[in-house]
Amino acid sequence: MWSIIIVLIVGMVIGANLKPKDSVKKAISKLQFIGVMILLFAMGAGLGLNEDLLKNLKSMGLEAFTFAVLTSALSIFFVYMASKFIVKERS
Amino acid sequence: MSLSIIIAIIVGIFSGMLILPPSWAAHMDLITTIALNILILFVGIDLGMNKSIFKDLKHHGYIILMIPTAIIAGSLIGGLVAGFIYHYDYNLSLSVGAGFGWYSLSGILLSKLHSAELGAVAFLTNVFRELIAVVMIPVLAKYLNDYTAIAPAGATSMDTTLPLISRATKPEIVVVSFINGAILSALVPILVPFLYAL
Repeated sequence: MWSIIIVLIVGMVIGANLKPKDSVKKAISKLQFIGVMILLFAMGAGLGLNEDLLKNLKSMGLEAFTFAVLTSALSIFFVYMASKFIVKERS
Repeated sequence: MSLSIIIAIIVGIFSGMLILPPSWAAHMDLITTIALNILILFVGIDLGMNKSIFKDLKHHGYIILMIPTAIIAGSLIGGLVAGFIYHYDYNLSLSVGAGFGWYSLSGILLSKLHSAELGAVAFLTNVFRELIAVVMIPVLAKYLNDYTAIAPAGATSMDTTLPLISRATKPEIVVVSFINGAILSALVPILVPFLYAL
């Protein structure tokens, strides 16, 4: 967690000293896209290489999937409700 | 964006299952960590270039705290409902829900507190939750709103899903997302054992 905070702050210092030109923003956006693809590929590969996980997937996959869908769906619902309240407060 | 996300993950999963040698698991961890740190650096650069964010952030005020609160409520109630379907004791359902997407930690905590089986359910649940978040973030930002895009990400909204939230939303939302992730990440090691002990 601390390494992320440090990296983020280093980035902010660099960003504050860069001229916010469109060409810079475009280049960053491209690099971010490539980075996200590499990250997601490596995360997926890490899961695919995890034999314990694949074994458990057969016996507990459906249960875990149900938990994941319901916790995500209700989080989305509650945050959406809260955000409606936020918008109302502001106007 | 959404399509490339899904393709990248699926290609990754199948490469891991079918092509890559098992000894590469550690390499994948390292690549994930490096890619993540580089991405977070870019997120930081993006933030640094937008000098008005911290002024904008003042408008958010206590609203920043409403988001993690709403995610906690949704995750715990969602956990209870899922546990009810599969006849789990309510304390186990709650503690699985309280992983907030942080699969490594919630899996380890519950395998130590209870059993390897419950640890595996918590691990898988939160892996699925992270995958759901990765796929849903751009969709939620487009069709509902930026705040809602943070919801499925839970504790991961400060690290693995932050680059995606950054691409799908505005710089000020990135700050809200980071704070949300930091709060939820700090709560996982407290809430999981607490709810388990109920």
